[in-house]
Amino acid sequence: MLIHTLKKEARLISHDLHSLAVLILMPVIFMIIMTLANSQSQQNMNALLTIKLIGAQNSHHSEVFAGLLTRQGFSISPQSKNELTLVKGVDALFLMRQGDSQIKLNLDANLAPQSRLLLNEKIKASLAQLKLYLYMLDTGDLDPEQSLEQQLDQVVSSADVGYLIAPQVEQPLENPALNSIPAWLVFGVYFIVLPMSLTFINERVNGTLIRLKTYPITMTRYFFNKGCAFMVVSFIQMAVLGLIGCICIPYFLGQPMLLLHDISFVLIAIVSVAAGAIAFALLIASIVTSFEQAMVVGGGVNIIIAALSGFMVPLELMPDNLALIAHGSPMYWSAQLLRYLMSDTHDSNFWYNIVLLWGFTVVCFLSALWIFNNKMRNLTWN
Amino acid sequence: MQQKNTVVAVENISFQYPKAQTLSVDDISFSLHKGSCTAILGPNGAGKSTLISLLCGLLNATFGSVKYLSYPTLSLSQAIKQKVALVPQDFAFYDELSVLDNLAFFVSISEKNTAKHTSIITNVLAQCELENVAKQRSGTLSGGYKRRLNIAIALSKQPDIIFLDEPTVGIDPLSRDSIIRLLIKLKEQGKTLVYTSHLLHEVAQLCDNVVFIRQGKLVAHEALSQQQLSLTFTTYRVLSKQQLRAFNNVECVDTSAQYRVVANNAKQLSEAFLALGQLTDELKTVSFSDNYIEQLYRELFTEVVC
Repeated sequence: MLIHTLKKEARLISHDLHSLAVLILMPVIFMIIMTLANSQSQQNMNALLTIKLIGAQNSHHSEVFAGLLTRQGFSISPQSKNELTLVKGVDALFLMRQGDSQIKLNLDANLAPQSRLLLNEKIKASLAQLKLYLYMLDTGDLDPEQSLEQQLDQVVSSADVGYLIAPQVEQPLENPALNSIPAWLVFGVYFIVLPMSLTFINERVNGTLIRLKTYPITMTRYFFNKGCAFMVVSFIQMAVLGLIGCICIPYFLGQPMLLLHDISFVLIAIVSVAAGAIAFALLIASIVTSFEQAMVVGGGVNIIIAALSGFMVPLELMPDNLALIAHGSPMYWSAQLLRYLMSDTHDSNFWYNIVLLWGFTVVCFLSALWIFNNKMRNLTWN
Repeated sequence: MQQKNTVVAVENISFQYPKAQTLSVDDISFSLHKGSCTAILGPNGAGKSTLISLLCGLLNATFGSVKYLSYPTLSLSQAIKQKVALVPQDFAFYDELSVLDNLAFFVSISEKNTAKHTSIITNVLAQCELENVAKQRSGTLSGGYKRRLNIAIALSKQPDIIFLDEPTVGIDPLSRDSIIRLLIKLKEQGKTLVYTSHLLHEVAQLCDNVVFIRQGKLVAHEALSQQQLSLTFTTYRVLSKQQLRAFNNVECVDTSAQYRVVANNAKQLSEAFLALGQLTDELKTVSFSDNYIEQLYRELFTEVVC
């Protein structure tokens, strides 16, 4: 019976183009867009680092400051919409700690807040180096015989604090695909709620469930079989998305492929992720009474959970309270599990997330079963 | 009183929905017999659906009981799950699956012995004349084939009792005839049918008994003969007993001068016409109907519907 149920659900989904689009096409598009966006972000940021210096033209400190900005990655361009105005004699103001607000910075109004923050910090760093330059010049630490380039190299070298920080182990998360692929794969898996709701609603509306109530099978067993069948569908979906996300997308974007290392950990993680998604989908499918409701409740809740899980905006950029919520999200736990697998790190957090996911699965499944059985009890002829 | 071939006995059954003020089914008793077809008729909201839900175990009676007498070793729930099949009015199957896959799915639930699956499906396909569309997607079938598939799925459970909700609605006359023939064949095979429909000529054609329900109460329980013809006439004044003696099976429809003669065959009908010939001066109206059920239905429910 389980095999027939599986065959039935697989055929229902395979004949429904909308379901296929939701389960495969949508997450693949998200994976491509977000991986591309992440990989391009650094290059785009460099393109943002342009500045136009106004005032104190051709003065010595202006020349020094331009040199220091260039060393921060800026290019000085009269066409730039980011403007920095220096007043004459700014060197004296620096050393005497006078002349507050004498430097005016006008950044491009179209810049995103994150980009404005970054530009601000880089300009402040250049100004700090300019201050150091003036100080070293004043104290005689700079050799006046040296060229300006050599002097600036000396200033930058003196300001460098990188040697104080212990060298880090190479961060596997630097691969942009590792950030986006697991997240959007999980997002796609949770969208199984739509085809599942559709079959539940159809069965209820066209009298199939009434018919099945008089069959020698308990509704609990039927519900469980349905969950198992969708679980297998979910495995197939994850295999397809995994293949596309871990191999095809990185390959075509010229990034390192995401390889899964330990098969036993892979199986544990995949079963846990699928179980969480299926239990959640069963819960929504048991609650909704029309496909419109399924779209709004199932689709809407998924998008909200994805946003709260840091899929759309990185957790680091979220307010603390929202970031805290992410740590209680099943999508976040699932994505973290896949990230651990793809970066080959199975520390205690891996097992912690497994436990959380199974707890979520059990609660959702039991709630769904209770709601489903209650609705079935009230289901009568016509 | 229960007959020897009584399959299901409905005894003083009543049902009240939790928040309802009145009983939806109120103290109804009747029996279903092996190889018979019983129609449950009544206007919308009369309680037909609730009564059928009680008969097939979808609801539990507040008072009274439903007894599946043919299966003394089985509990009510077991008897229903093993011996009863439903044919809902909607197409209760999966449009995206083929006819064969639909049957295979439902048989996989009803029959544990997988070795029997193929033979059950083959038999049902033949019985419902679905062989030539077996591999076709169910959603692409014509209305008539869909109706037959709806019945085929019920038959694949190999039931003894089948509940049918308007099994011929929305299909062409030829497809309807084919389904009626199939249902008559099922009766001949000893299956017990319970039937609801608003197509009363079908009820007359197919059913042996009719249970009329109004506001949850049984208002009439008629046993039908093969062919029931009725002659209704009204007179200018109430006839004397002597005048009525010329008729067989005559009954007074109401307190005024309206009478009906029910004839089971053409001979009885011609006798009734002869008797009517003696009353030419008294006659106000005469009407003849070959559908007694329809006439009865109109008489019982006209005031309810109006």
